[in-house]
Amino acid sequence: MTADRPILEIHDVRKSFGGVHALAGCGFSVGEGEIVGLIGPNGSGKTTLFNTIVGYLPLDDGRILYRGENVTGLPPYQIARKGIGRTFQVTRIFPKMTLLENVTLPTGSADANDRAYELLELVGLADLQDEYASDLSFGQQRLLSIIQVLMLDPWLILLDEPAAGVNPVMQKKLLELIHYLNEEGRTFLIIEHNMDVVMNNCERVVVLSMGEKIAEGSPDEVRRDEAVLTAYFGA
Amino acid sequence: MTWRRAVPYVGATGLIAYAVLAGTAPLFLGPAALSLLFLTLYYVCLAGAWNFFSGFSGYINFGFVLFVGLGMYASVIGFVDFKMGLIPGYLTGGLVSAIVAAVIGYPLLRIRGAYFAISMLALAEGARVLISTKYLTPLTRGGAGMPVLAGNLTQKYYAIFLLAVCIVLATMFFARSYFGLSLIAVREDESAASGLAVNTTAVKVSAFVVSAFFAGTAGGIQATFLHYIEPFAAFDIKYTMLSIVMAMFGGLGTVLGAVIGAVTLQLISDYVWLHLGQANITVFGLILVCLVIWMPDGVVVRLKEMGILPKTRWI
Repeated sequence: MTADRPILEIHDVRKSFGGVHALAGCGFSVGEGEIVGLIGPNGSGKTTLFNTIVGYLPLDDGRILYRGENVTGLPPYQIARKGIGRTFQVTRIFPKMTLLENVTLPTGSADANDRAYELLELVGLADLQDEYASDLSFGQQRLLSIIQVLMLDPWLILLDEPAAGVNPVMQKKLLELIHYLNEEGRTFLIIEHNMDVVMNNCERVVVLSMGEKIAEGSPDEVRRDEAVLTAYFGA
Repeated sequence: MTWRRAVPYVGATGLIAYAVLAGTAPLFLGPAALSLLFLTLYYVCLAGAWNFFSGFSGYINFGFVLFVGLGMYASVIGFVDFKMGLIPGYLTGGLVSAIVAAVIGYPLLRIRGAYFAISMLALAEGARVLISTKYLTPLTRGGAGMPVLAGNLTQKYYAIFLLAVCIVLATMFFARSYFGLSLIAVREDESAASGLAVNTTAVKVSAFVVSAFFAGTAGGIQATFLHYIEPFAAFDIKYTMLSIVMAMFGGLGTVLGAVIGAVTLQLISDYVWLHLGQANITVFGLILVCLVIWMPDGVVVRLKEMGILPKTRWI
């Protein structure tokens, strides 16, 4: 599965907030071209892990490698330029910027390119390109934030609950988009609470609990794992 | 709704007419009227310079007068002690402010919101006190102040007019560029911008330096207009306050907002002062309260939101 060199390697990362060990020595790797699900109960450290990968939070200890290169401690904009993009659990777009401005920003230029129009078209927002992003519905903002990240031309894409709050039609469209991009060779690491989405779309699943990796494997293996059942249901 | 479509054309015509009249004013205006127009253009410069950084970045600079005052002192010292010509003296004011902005920008622009505002306020007050102390007296003449004679009214008028035009054009160019777009993104959501490959620190510091350069140059011109500077006049918090109010009235983070704000409020304040004398501050305050209730984001932003002006960054 990870025969080639992994695109992302996480080695024994640790991060505490006061007395809370959000990440307590967690490690795994993601292979080039995979779609990996990252699941775990609330507070298990999933979003914290995302924040450390993209440089928002400094690590207390441990290393993160992207394509074999140590990216630990780099500022977020440099990590983004290397090709790691992420979306947020709570959508964060730029409200008083037009849709077109929102999607051109990550390209490092103020001139909209074909890809910007193409992606707006793809998610059905092309007609609104000159309106402020604040005027969009919640679901539309979520789609906007995803195509924004794609404008970075990222090869590793971290999605934080992409399906939450999006209607079933949009959700289907979103998953199609993920698979389409995956076929281009882009790698996904996806935090998701919707188990159907995880089980049907991820090739491999990593389970976190209390800041540690407790299981890893195919969706079916993970579903039957004792430790996972205990973490989720306390059984 | 035909009037809606007429607004941009009427507005553009008005602005061009104003620019042409202001550009030729020394040919037909007497010294008193020219001085009033000088002051209006001075505030166009200040509000424009303030807006260049704070309007776009959302980092509200409450110590803006620091750069105005430093520019005043630097250029007056240039004129008096170094016998500089008019233009080199003015540019010295701008450069000194820009250098100071670059030095304080790196540490200060890491702190946000109220903390940034308070730090800048404290720095501006501190600079005023420092200028008056005995340590700097040989250079600044302390509380005694410095008289300055440089240029005639027409020259100073053209200097401030050209600076105002430069600031407006620079803001327009800036707003259209990636640099301006990324500073707006910093205002909207700084950490999200950094995750989308924006080098937020570099962008903030650069805009801060440019803003300080404009403020310092305007300060230098104003100093020669006043003929005399002393610490309280040079670091008068009024300059900060009026710049903020004018930029906010016109529309934060827009190109024309600062011009509209400075021209309108200066006209209102002159009119009120002329006709109501001592009551002017109260009336002026009431007008401001009404404006803030009806147009909290300023004229230009409101017009963009209403769809009367296009939502482009260069207006």
